[in-house]
Amino acid sequence: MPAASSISVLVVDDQMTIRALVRNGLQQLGFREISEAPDGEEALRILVQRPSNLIISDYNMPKLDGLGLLRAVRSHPPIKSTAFIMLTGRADSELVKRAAQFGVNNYLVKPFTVAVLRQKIEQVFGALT
Amino acid sequence: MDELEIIKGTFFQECEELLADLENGLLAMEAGSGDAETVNAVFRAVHSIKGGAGAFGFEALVRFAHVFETLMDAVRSNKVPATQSLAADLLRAADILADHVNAAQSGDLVDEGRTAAMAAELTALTDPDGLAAPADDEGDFPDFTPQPIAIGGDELGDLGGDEFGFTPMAVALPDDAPVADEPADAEWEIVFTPHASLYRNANEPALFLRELERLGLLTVTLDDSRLPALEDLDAEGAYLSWTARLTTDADETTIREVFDFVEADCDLIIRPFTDDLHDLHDPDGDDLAEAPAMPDIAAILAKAAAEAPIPEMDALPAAAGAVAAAPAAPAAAAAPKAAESNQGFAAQATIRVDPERIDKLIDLVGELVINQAMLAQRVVECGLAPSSSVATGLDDLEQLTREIQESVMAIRAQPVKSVFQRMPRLVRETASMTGKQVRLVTDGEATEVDKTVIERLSDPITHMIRNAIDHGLEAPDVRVAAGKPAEGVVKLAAMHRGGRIVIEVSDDGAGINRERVKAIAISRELIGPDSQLTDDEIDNLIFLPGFSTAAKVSDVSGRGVGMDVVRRSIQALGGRISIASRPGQGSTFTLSLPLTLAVLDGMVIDVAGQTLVCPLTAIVESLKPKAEEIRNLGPSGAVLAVRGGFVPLIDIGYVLGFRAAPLNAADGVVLLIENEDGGRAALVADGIQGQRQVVIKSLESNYRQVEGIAAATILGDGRVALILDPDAVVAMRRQGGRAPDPALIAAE
Repeated sequence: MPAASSISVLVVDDQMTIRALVRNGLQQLGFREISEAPDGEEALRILVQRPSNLIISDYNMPKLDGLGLLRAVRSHPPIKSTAFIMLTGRADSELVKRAAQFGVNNYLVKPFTVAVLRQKIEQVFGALT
Repeated sequence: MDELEIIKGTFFQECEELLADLENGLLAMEAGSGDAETVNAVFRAVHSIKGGAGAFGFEALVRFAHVFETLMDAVRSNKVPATQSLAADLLRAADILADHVNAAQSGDLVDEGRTAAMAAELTALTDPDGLAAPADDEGDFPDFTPQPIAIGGDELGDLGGDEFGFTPMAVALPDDAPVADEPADAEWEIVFTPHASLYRNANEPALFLRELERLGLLTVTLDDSRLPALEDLDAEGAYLSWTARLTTDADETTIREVFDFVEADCDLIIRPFTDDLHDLHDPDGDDLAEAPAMPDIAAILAKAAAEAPIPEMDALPAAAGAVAAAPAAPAAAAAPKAAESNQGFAAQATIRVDPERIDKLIDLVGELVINQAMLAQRVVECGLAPSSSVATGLDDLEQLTREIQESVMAIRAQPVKSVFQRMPRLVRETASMTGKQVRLVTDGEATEVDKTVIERLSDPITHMIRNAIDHGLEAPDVRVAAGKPAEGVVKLAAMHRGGRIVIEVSDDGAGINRERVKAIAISRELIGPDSQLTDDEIDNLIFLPGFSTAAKVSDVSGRGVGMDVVRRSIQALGGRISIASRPGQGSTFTLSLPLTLAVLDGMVIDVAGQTLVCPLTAIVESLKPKAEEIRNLGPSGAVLAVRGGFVPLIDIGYVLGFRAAPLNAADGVVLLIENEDGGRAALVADGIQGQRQVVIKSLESNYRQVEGIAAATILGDGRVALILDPDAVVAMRRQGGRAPDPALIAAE
């Protein structure tokens, strides 16, 4: 039963709106350590300096997309076991399959409610306190 | 404000940027210069708008964006060819998408018929034969069920597959130590120089490097500088050396163990990596020294690509792909690339700040400027020598204050791009409405000007462009007959000139028909039938109130305001607008505005005991009239003889109602101003205090609009002073009127 406040999260999306919405949802769930990155490359740069427990990342981003980020994370030993939740659109079943091959922990379909966000995180970490 | 409302605001702000990206991408495609990345960027823009819109429940916007996105996805995957005519269709779709965004923001309704027609068009383009099954938005992901990592018997029970057939993978959090507090990996430099004996013993250097790579993140540089010319080469000699940078949590012993069996057969240096050391040993040290001392991203990406190569991966950066071809082989090329991509990160550090904070800062700095000016004046009044330490100190202060002001103004400065970006759509729509062929060329989009001015540029530019297309350009057949290409060119340019921003809108049309303009002006009694006017004066008649050259009221320019209103609004901002024309070759509108509306260079004057500020831009000259230069005309009218001409005298205090009878101009000073239609007037004031830069405070937002007054300001001593609108004062005098409530303004 991990405490939400003990889990650090990196939110990766090129859209500020989506980052703000995810951050807002996370804050409602009691998360405190939340950082943001606008693309996969920036996310990677942040992660190697300061690892997070959880990455919530969009798929379609400039520079380095969500799958590229996932692969990079999984191949870099210091951060390879970071939990990774991929943000997807409804029709992206191909993407979810490919992400699963690369070891994504869960996915989250946009748009989402705070309850669904909680459910998706709890499926990865267990019930939050 | 509700947090979600704030995020919604962010969304619309972001939409504006996305729509601009979308349009730019499509314009590039239309011009035939779009590549795969352009198509992808267009897709991403539509996708992002849809994603955000979904979060806020803008259903109509989501539905239309979805159809658009589906087509872009097909284009992206080459199922639909990205032709220029497709781009033209997509541009129209982008316009409708923009309408939907606006409607979502304002709560207005969109044209459903137009949307439906466009959506049908897009669907037909996506799937010309209508063969594909309807997109299955709610599709599940049935084929894949990843293996969960068990972290505890009980919790696993909750992890059953969901509605998409996907089983989440659980992870265990590190027990106590927060991740962020883990010791950082150390960086090592390993210089590995095999002796010939190493090769003789059938050892392969690449294997050692590969072994090193298992310990962490590795970058290897090959040094082949000792390699002799081919004819001197000993096939069994050893000439190569590798310098490896390793980021790892392993210690030196572990690293040394890699070379356990060959240490006697090579020169091996293992040491903690620092930039200094590196500079000494790496001939390419310059490039690497600039890179931050942390695992470089390109190397991680290269490694990721090498470990799991997937041919159809579409978004892997090209640089990483190139390195991936030889992950552990001599990777000299990787180093500069890494440096490049790292520099890319540094460039994008921006912060978003609430504009109100900047406005406040600008106000404060403006007042600092005023205070500094007042202080300087006191020093002069006290009779201190200009060389005194106080005076020189004040000079330094003035310099600094000006620099601060410029820097602060630069924060709020924005490129005119945001306004220019809206124009391609306007041109498209106006062109199709008038049946003309138009190409818009823009120049100087990066020209920066204060935000307050940017906001006011849009309307006049819109009007000038409409005018250029509607009145300036000829119909295609007329153009061809005149030996011009059927497609007309409208050029929109921005530049800085003399501390002002200048916007030019030019066309290559027929130019102004001066005979007709003059005839119309005479028929409307705007000028006398026997007026002798220069070409330039005739051209500028179109700015007179009540002038319209359109033979019939057209759909485009005939609607809304005339050029006189445009000129009026420009002048209210301290700007000027004029037109120059050459018959058969086209016309150019030139609009110039101050770079900021936050501060104003003004002349501080005394009028009937009040302190007023007259914008310096309006003043041609100020003078002290002699009694013999004043001619009285009737009870309250008078003119002033200025260099052979007569200019009407207008007492500011009388017109604004500060006093009951006009002041005799000989007892005061006169500000000679140039008014709206190029005519002159002489404004009478009691005295001039001096020239000063003042901070503009809107009277309208703090009080209400007052005729003859443009705004207010606060002087250095804390007094409020009103800023004159000289043109309005002249207009009030012409109407013979006085301010409706004299006591009111005096009381303010």
